[in-house]
Amino acid sequence: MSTNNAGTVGLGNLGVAQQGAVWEFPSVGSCVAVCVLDPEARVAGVAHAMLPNSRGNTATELPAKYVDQAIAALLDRLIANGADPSRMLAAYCGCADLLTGPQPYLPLSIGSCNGSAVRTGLEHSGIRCMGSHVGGHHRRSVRFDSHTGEVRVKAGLRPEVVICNLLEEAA
Amino acid sequence: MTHPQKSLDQLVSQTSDLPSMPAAVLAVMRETASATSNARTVAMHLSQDQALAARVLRLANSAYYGLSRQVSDVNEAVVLLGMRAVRNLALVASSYPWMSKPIPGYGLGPREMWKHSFAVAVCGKIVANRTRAGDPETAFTAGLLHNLGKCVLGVWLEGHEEAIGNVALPGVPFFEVERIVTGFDHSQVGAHLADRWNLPESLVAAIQYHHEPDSAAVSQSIVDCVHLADSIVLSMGIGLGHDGLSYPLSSNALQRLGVGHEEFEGLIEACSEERIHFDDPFGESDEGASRAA
Repeated sequence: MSTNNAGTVGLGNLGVAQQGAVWEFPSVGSCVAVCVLDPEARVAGVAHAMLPNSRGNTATELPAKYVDQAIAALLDRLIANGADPSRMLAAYCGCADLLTGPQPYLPLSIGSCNGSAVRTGLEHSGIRCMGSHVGGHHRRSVRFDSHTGEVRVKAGLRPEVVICNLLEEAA
Repeated sequence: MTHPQKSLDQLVSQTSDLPSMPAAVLAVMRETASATSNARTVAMHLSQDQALAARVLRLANSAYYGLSRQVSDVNEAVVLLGMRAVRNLALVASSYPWMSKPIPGYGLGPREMWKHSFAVAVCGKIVANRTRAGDPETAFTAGLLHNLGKCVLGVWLEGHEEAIGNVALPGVPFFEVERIVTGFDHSQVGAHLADRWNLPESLVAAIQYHHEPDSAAVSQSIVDCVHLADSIVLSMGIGLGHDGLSYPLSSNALQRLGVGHEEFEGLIEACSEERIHFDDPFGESDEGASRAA
């Protein structure tokens, strides 16, 4: 996965660009990498969220720490940069879990909860989801090129794959 | 599969570029683990290794630690920070050189092992503080060293990606993959090296059982703290390699620590707000102390 001219999206952070950009999420575990594009306005954005629900907690310096706040903040910034929610297309990756197995105590599947929270958040915002690469127990590296629309994922030892192209999906 | 005939001792002895620990640090670790430890002895041990003492002072005076005034000698550092905190500075100073190297056998790039280990150390301290399960400074030490064995076993896994891929099936813990491919797992290897270094029993136990805390016969609470801290840092995606998140989370350890689902999320929140990144402790600037991932 090339790193040329790509911006790294840190934990709990988000980014928006008007003129096209390339973003990388070098190591995604239970967290979720969300990629959104308005193909007409050519405005794109990303978020790297860690936990599913803020439960009203706003006392954090990280704008995308929680999935619910991350999607709301990303949407706001995309709109402020000229995007229209009705045209936005999204993809998301990550949401891996530790091995919990058949244990009697609590199944702490943060990854699965993050996946559900993203699906709900995108649906409530009216954003169409065009692809996802989630679950399992792998490290994922994610690359979103908003010039080409490609969302690429490398999971564990498997070869890198293009999970969707947000520009082609719009055509 | 790859080296089934080797004993653990042979495997460690035949490893090139084996991690090392300065004698002064080992002496400090033994001293601070003893019931009769005292600050003067700790400072004396560190002062005997001038290069190490200089690195400890550089760390103590870094932006990461943010002391209100500059510390000019190790005696002062011990008085100001406490001997266990200074022991941890010495450990950070001496382990960074080998922990920051890439470990291709695990798919880890430069400093990825370091980032993971330092984050587990800080999170281990947070877990110990919040659950009151053990001494937070010991949890830090154990967290920093928990993956010591990967720095050794990585050499033996290198070039065996195909074999790893063949046995790393969904649901199989990665320590079983390591055992199939090399005959041992990184916890066994790390504990063996820690034992060779004559590290305190609690640290050897934390290294050996951090993925299987229910098997620990001693120092269960520190083992549990490291197990949970490691699980949190893996979930956050910090320093993941070929093994990813393929390790079991022990419900018994969570129960012993009194950590339920909400507390688990609360700990992830707390860890994300802490300065768990200290990516470049000896860089020319202190940019490495920023929180940005």
